[in-house]
Amino acid sequence: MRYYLDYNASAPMDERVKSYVKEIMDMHGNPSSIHTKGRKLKDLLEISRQRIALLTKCNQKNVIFTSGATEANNLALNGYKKKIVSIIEHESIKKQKNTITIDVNKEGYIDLVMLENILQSINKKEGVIVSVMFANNETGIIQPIEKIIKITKIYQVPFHTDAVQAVGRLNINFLKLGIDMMTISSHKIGGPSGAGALIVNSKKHILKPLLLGGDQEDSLRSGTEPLLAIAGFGQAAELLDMKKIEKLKALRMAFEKKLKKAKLGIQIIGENSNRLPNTFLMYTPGIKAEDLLIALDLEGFDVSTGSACSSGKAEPSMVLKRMGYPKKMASGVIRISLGLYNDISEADMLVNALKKILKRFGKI
Amino acid sequence: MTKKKKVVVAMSGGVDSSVAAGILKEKGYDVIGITLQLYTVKQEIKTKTCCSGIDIYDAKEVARKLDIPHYVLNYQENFKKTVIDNFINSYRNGETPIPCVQCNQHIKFDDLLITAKGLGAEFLATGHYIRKKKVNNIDGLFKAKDESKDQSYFLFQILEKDLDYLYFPLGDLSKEETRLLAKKYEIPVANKPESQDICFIPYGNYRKFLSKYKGFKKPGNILDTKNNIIGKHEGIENYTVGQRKHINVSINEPLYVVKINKENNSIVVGKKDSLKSKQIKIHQINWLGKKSFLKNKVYKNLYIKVRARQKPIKGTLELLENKEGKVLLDDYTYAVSKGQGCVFYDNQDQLLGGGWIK
Repeated sequence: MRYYLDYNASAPMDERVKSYVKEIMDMHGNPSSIHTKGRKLKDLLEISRQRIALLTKCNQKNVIFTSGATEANNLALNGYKKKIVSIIEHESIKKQKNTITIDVNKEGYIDLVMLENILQSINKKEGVIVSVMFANNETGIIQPIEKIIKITKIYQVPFHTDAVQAVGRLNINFLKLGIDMMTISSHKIGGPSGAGALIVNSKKHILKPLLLGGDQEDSLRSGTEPLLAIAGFGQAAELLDMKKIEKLKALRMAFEKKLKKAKLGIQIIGENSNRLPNTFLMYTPGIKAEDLLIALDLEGFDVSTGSACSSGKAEPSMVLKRMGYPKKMASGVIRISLGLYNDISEADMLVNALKKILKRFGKI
Repeated sequence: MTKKKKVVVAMSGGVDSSVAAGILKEKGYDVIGITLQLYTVKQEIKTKTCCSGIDIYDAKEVARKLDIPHYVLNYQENFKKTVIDNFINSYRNGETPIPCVQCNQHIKFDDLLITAKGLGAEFLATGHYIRKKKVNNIDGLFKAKDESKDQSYFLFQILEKDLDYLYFPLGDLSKEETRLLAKKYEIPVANKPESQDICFIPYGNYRKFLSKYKGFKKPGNILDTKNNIIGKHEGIENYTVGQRKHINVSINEPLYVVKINKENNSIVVGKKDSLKSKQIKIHQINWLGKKSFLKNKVYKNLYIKVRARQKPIKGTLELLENKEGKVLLDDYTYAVSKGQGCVFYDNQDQLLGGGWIK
């Protein structure tokens, strides 16, 4: 028996998404072709675009499909000369050139005063962009997006947000919030991997394509559209039941309560901060996260340290370090991220496994 | 249903540890492979890669082939503290370090052992060529069956209390047999060449490695055995006791480094004769033989090695305070170097322990 508690890494695909994608597998063609087969596929592409627009409350035309969130983030920032970004962004933002970073406080929120000071200090606002993630992938802490937008509007610089973990977990109204650009990803909401989108409210933003070619996606993303992934993405968006997802908060809180009551010294990071309904980062004293991760895996639990790299090596949590926690704590946190297939009995199983593991490690 | 016994195998991505994992899998253990990331190799391209090393990739591929779970543990910080820093300091002090012993002592058979126990494993296995056998019902370590592959010298700091928990599946195999098993298990690294150098030194160039750190390349005097200055050197780290190369002083007879003096940054050279010694001072002695030894002061008829590749010489160990000791060899040996291990065996090839040469 395995327990999947790592929805922020990737969410399982809904059966209905699978069967939809399977249907499309039987329809061959290229969405750019003029003939009937091509047009049929183009229709499916646009249906997906519509569904993404519906989910994020934007216009269909705002949606640019990409291969995933990493590409969308790169596309968003590619044309800008100065990128003001938070210090807890995903690598695809963090590794950009010419960035100025904004700190976060112990509650996990970005320093709004610092943001304002940075914007104030820049005389020429052309080519400047602010990018702050909607909600953090490790802690689940939700940034004060409305306040950030208010500031960026005053200084008249565009605002981009990486909303990969927030979309499908929070009700986001892209147009009403006044976001300029937003990154979303298919496989975090139960679609296939290999698709994502950058949502852009106006073509006046400096968008410099990363790939040159056949001018698909309004010339912003050349290359034949990966229709299977995009169609699955749209179908997953269509199937999202936000009411059910909101209920995950109660499950998350029940998990947290049981873990805290287990007398293992477990702490929830940013416990009193505004967080995603499904995510928490927990600190277990006395054991390194990498040891705990492996031990839990062997006991049947799929969890994450939040920042595992492609080779599978666990690193101390960068986010926690940036929040000002000591290194020892940053090296001892694991992330639990829940989804619709989890239930509270798994919390009891998790507590039991933790007790067993800590005992073996000589900690209790 | 009886539950399979769990065993953790330290997998380096090389042939030996891969075969060790294969043997255990074949024996029916529930095998867990762990590769330690000990240092980051700076790539040609400037980006600091997240996870370096073709070896980690190899280990993962072997684990995939053997169908065992595999994990990477990041021990870089601890490795730097206990192995690399020690290596550097050792050269600063005019010693000749053996970092593999420290790695075994502080990393593999300490941190990894704790993790293995925590994961519920009953053994920690490695691909070292050394045998573990019971003598009078007590676990003991013995030289590998294939003496040319024997690695017991590098394992003299293993603690007696941990013996029960260790497993060395290769101790009875020759390298040839190991390679055959690698082929049998279809291990993808079967033909990988053996690593010879110190793992964290690129291209085996330790001088270049050291040059990045402070306190090296300090010019000083080359002295003869009567303290006459006969030449100049470019830093004591370039020398090892017994070395003939790079002395740059010519007399009729070949000269060897006989002593390295950290205090006045000099090296002393002399004829081969002045390299020989019988008395060796050691410290941090670790004992793996009969426990009753520690009550005695003197242990005779030991077979003693003062470097990895050497025929043991008979001698006597006298135990002093604070895990220090004095060794008296029956015959002269050449080029005893500070920082190397002085390792004891009995006449049955049992590893009895060892200490560091002072």
